[in-house]
Amino acid sequence: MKKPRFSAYIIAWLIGVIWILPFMGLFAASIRPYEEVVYGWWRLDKLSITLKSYLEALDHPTSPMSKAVFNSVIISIPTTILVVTAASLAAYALAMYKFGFKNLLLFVIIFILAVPVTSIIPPLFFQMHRLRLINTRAGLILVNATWGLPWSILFFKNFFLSIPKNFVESGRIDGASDFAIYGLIILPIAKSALISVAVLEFVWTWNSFLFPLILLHNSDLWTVTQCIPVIKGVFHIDWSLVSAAALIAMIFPLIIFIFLQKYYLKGIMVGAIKG
Amino acid sequence: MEREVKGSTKVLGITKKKKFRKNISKYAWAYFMIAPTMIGLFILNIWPIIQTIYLSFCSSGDFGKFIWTGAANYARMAADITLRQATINTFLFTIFSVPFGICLSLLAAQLLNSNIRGKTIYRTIYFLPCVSAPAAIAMVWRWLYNGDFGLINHILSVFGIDGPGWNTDPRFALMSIAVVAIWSSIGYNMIILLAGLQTIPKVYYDAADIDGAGPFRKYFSITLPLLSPALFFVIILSIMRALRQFDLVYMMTSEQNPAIIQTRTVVHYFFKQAFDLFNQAYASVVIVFLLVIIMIVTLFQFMIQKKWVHYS
Repeated sequence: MKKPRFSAYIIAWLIGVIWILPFMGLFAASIRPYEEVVYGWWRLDKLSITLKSYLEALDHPTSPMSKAVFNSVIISIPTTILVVTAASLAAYALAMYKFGFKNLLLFVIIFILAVPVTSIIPPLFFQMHRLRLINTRAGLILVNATWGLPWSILFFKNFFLSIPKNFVESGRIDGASDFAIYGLIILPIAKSALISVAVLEFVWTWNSFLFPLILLHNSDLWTVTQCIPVIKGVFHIDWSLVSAAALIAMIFPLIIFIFLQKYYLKGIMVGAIKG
Repeated sequence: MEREVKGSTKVLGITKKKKFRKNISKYAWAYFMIAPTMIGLFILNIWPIIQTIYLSFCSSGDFGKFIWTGAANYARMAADITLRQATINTFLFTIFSVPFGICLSLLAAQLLNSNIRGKTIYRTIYFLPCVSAPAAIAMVWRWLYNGDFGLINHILSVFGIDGPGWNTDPRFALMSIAVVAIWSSIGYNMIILLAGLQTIPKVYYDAADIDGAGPFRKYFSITLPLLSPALFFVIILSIMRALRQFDLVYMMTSEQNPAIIQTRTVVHYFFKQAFDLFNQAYASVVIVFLLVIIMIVTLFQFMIQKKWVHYS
């Protein structure tokens, strides 16, 4: 392969700097006291490093981040498991069988993708109220999961269609049931797709703002996205404290992305392109 | 003769029955597999959508009741100047953010597809905005855009330029938000395009080299046509996302912001009608209107895709 030109490095660096600069700002502000960063975190006339903001954010009197991180974890993990299980099953059925209403189901899924989530908030709220799921984690998990289903189903369907048919046929000849074919043949092949959907779904659930806002009113259940605006406050903004809180909120999704990116990228390649 | 025919129909009957039974069991599996999804989607997605459409034909009465008023809301919508402005804003936002966003994603994907050193680091950095909460993103950028002590104006002041408050000046606010939208969406688009680039076989380029094609010729005759399915996917999703933009506008321009008239998008207007003015019926019309726009735009793209998307 050709050696990359020097200009390629300059462009890559330039984009990189613009992309990382806001995060540098967050980081710089979070480790310095408020008085030093109030006129700009880039000013270095006085420099003292402290972890005070992190401790304060974790132990905030009205919305402690430590509890919020726990709440977000306890909501994001079941949501992710639910989406990956239900979507892969449905996508398997859509990819492997012909059955009545199949095209209708596909149309519905694509239609839901076009609907802005914001728009169904009022009816959804009443629906959840009727089901007595307001202020419960189960309610938020179910809502997050059903709104994560459409794109994951399409993604899995594309991936499953790329699996050669003779894998399934050989299983059938050996007398495996449909469920066994799904569990023992398809899922192991689709490992990278499963991880891709899991990573994206986890990150989206973690960062979702509107659903927790309307479904969880009890501050003991608040997720990280609900706590950041509270910590920020309205009139007086303690930039060091908010920056620390924002960075704490990023840690989990970031770790997951960095450690799983090898599988994740491979999965995206097949799931999003083919078909 | 007769017996034989009889025999064969009998055999046929049995195989038909067997096949039917086999099909039933096959269908049963399929329905069993999609059942959880169908139930969930119906209760939490489809039913609220149907109700929204129903509400668009009603007016909000007392005690949270709704009265059927037919097309009255639609008549009101046609004369709504604020909605007209919001529609213009939404389209401006889309026209500004989508082409630039996609060109930049393509550039980033191309860089990561070359054998540049330190790919993992660049990839992680470009992807960073995708893993951070929109609330944090909006906050960071408001800080950068701030007219008095934001970093952007600080840098401009070094060159003797007195910059405006980027997210409060009506002339720049919508573009400033579009910049943030571009910044935070490159990660996903880039990865999908990168995946597309990596499926292009090297042989094509070797063949073009033998034919003496220049880099531009190679790019427009090989790279772009073979990348078109991935590009189409990214364009469809980006336009949909831009047309229903809400989060960033909501978090970067408050109702007191002097630029709110120029930044209010259709979904933002819906939100104001539904939650600030408690006018859910009229808000539903606004959303149905947007849904129709999204449908038309998407259908149009599917119609013209035959002209430029090449599936191998």
